[in-house]
Amino acid sequence: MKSRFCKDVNEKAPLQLYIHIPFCLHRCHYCDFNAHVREAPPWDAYALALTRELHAWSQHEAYAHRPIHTIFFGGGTPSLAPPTLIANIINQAQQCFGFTADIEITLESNPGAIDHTHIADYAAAGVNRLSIGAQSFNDHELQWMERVHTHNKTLEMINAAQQHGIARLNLDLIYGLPKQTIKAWLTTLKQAIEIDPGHLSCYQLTIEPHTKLAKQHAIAPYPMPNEALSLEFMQQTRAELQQQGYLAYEVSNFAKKGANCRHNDGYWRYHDYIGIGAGAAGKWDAPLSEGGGIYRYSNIRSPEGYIKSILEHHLPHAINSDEHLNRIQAAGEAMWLGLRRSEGVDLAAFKQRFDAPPHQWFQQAITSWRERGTLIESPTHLLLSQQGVALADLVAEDFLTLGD
Amino acid sequence: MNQKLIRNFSIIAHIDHGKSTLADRLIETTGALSERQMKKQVLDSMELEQERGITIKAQTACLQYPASDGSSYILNLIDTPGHVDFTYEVSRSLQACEGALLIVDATQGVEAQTLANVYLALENNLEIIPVINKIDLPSADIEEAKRQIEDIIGLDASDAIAVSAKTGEGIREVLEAIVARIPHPKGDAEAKTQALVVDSWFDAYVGAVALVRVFNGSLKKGDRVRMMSVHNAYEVNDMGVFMPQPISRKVLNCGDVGFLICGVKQLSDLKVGDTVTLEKNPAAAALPGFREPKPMVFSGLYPVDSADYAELRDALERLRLNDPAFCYEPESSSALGLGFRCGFLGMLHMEIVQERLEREYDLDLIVTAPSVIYRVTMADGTVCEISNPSDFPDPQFIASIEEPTVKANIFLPEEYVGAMMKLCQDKRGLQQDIKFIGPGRVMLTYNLPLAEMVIDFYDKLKSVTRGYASMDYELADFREESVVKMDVLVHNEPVDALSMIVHRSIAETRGRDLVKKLRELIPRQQFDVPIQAAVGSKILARETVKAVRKNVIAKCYGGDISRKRKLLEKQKAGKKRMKSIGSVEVPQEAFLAVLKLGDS
Repeated sequence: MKSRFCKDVNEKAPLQLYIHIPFCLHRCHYCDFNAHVREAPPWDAYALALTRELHAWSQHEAYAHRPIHTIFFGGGTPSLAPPTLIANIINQAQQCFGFTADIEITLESNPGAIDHTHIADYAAAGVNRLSIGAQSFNDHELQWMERVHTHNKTLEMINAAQQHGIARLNLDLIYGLPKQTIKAWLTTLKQAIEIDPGHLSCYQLTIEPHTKLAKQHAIAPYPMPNEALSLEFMQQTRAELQQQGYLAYEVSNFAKKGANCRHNDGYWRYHDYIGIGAGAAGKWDAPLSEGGGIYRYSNIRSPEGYIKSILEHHLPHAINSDEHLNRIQAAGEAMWLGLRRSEGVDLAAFKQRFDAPPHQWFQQAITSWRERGTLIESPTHLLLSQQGVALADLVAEDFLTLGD
Repeated sequence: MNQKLIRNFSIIAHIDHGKSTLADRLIETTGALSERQMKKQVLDSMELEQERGITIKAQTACLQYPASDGSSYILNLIDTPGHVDFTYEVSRSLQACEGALLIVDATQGVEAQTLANVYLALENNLEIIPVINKIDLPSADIEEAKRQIEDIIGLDASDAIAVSAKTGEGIREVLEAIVARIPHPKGDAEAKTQALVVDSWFDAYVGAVALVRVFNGSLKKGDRVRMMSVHNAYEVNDMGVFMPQPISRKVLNCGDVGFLICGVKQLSDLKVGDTVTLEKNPAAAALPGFREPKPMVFSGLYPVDSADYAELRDALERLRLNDPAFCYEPESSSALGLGFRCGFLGMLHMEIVQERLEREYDLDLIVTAPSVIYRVTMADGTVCEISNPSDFPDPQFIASIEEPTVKANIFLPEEYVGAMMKLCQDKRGLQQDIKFIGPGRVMLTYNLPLAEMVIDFYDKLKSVTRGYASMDYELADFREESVVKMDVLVHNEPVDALSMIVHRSIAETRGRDLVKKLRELIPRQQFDVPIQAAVGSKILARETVKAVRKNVIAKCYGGDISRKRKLLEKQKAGKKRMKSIGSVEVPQEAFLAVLKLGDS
């Protein structure tokens, strides 16, 4: 039986799967992810809970019988997980949903928090892409960031990955550290480029509320780059990477031709996703016949709470909060996320998804931003101009509908 | 009642010198109510007030006192409002009396308000009995208080009465002095009726209520009466005295003080200072001193949400029923939309009205910079009064402009005199007097422009003297000055709600401060926003709100979307509460910035 969801919304709407591995060796001061330090993570219980949750979602009418296009193990530090856990989840997912032929399976891994001998096992389990938390190639910067590794560890890990046949690599990098010069950052960036990964994610450091860094910053403020310098960092990064053949396909993501992270790109294309594990989130489109909005859920964040909910209370899920957006709210969200992509919002896909062009709801916002040169209308896409990318959130405000 | 057995008096004091406590003690001592009953009485009346909106004037009371001379006297205590904005009301209360108790705190000495009220009492030829209060406190210095009464006020303090309103010590002496020293009323009971409206207030059940003092003739229940400044006639429905609870009487005789209810629907028909006479046999003239309430300070009131306009209009209408000194008329601003130009007696009055609107009527308001009335003589000789910057005439047709001034008495410790004099000078004040009034205490007298007083003078005064100064002021003359209209342009558009009338000598400083403040308050837009202050075509100051060039979160993945969307929505909601001026979003605080100039 085929789900009416697929048929109704979009025959080929790809479905993706996210698995959250919340454990870390150390929680870095800037980190606001759902990460937890445990001396001995309860791997078995966690693995069991993940499988149960996966099975439960495979029964859900929004997801049932849709082949999975991409899988992403994020964290925390997924490279701490026993290879059997990873293999088992991939295996179960294939049984429950089936995979498309070219499935992309990414595992986030942190240098210094991975047993290199495991890489072969991950590869054997089906992992075909590694996202490596390099962050910097300057050991002082790594130390300031409270990372557990040095740049040599990163290099060793990359070697190991290449040896074990995982060719698709991403390096995560962070710029805009206190007092960091553009020159210092470009040195790290160039070192990363020399390694020649297919993909680079370059994030500006932001001080997120409730982090250790935020508390320190409140007491003794760090000299963070001002707006002009931030912009300079962003522009130089894009220029340098473009020169080296990396396309900025999203605000912070760069890839050589064909090397986009299809999983992450799916979020901005407004695809459906299942999220399993502590703090993971999932989203699905409601059929147009039922309003055409979206549903989104987010799981209990603490690993113990998550395990307890599924294993002890025998609940199929471990949902902490959920939300429903109506069609216009969802359309606004799709615009916001879509405009983060350099290609912009695909008008045909939008029309098919929402049964109306963006202009039906957002004509005024589109016109005013186009007139200011921030937004560009091509025959097939709505996209932000070069300078517009830096203002993406300001533009987004005009598309988001205030809930009552 | 024989007029010879009546004494009408008020209590005048600086705030916190113990006026209420003394009044309560007098009421209690004259036996009407025991301490416990009194508490209950006050409580009951408060509940009543809350439930039914009936106002009882706690400190206006008719006391029966059997004096040591063997006669029983009626002592009418008449309450006075306690603030400079209500000087006129205070003077009407004093007009109704033959005498006053002057309270001076034995620990504080003479303060600014004491002095202002004493002068009002002297103008009304009242017999003043100095009372030195709080003698129970260890820091009380009776002799010093007496000396100040003599040196500063110029009253004989040799028979001042030392009391403690708190413990009751000296209260009987006060009562005896009222009987012995305050003259009895000397009206003509046979003459045509003249009664002074001492106070009036609005009661939700019976309409307007007046407190009256009968000067000549008498008033009886059922009489047809006329208010001499308006021409309507009314029938007296009820009258009586406050004990302090209201007790109905059939008649108020010559010399009496009591309340009058006669079906007046709005307070503007029952004005403080007006004279009540009989319709049939009216007095030839009103009692002296009546004045229409004249607002001196004006500002625009606008609803934050323009949808609340009708609600604001209704609230103002209801407020005016209760407060005839307050006036308003519709006004429209290109920046703020529809609102009202409102007039107030002074700054405190303005604050009271705003607070009531926001609290009692639950309205969010934008208040524009307060302005005073300027007297403008045009080139053709005509004279007009303007208070609204938008009415400011084209300067080429203006011959001269006069601005109102006040005479301010400031009492302060010696060590702050330098700072205070500098403040007064900065505010264009002219020193008129400086007096050393006691150990380390000084009285400064300045003539100051009212326009400077309405901005932030009182806050500044408190801050330069660390709260140790007290001030009182009275309106003085108009003074010819060089006054200009300063405009503020946001993104090259003049913002009418930010325009102000200022003295030429301070226009530039004020303009610079204002645009600087606005630069901090106006959020950055997607383009540079110039903010300018200008007089005519001359730009006095300019600042630029730099355009936002980067506003994008670095990371936005599946698990982040919900939370980050909410953040963006919150940002957006914040902007929705702002007013759009052309294409620029301006927050409410910007319109208040004018009020806070020079705080930084």
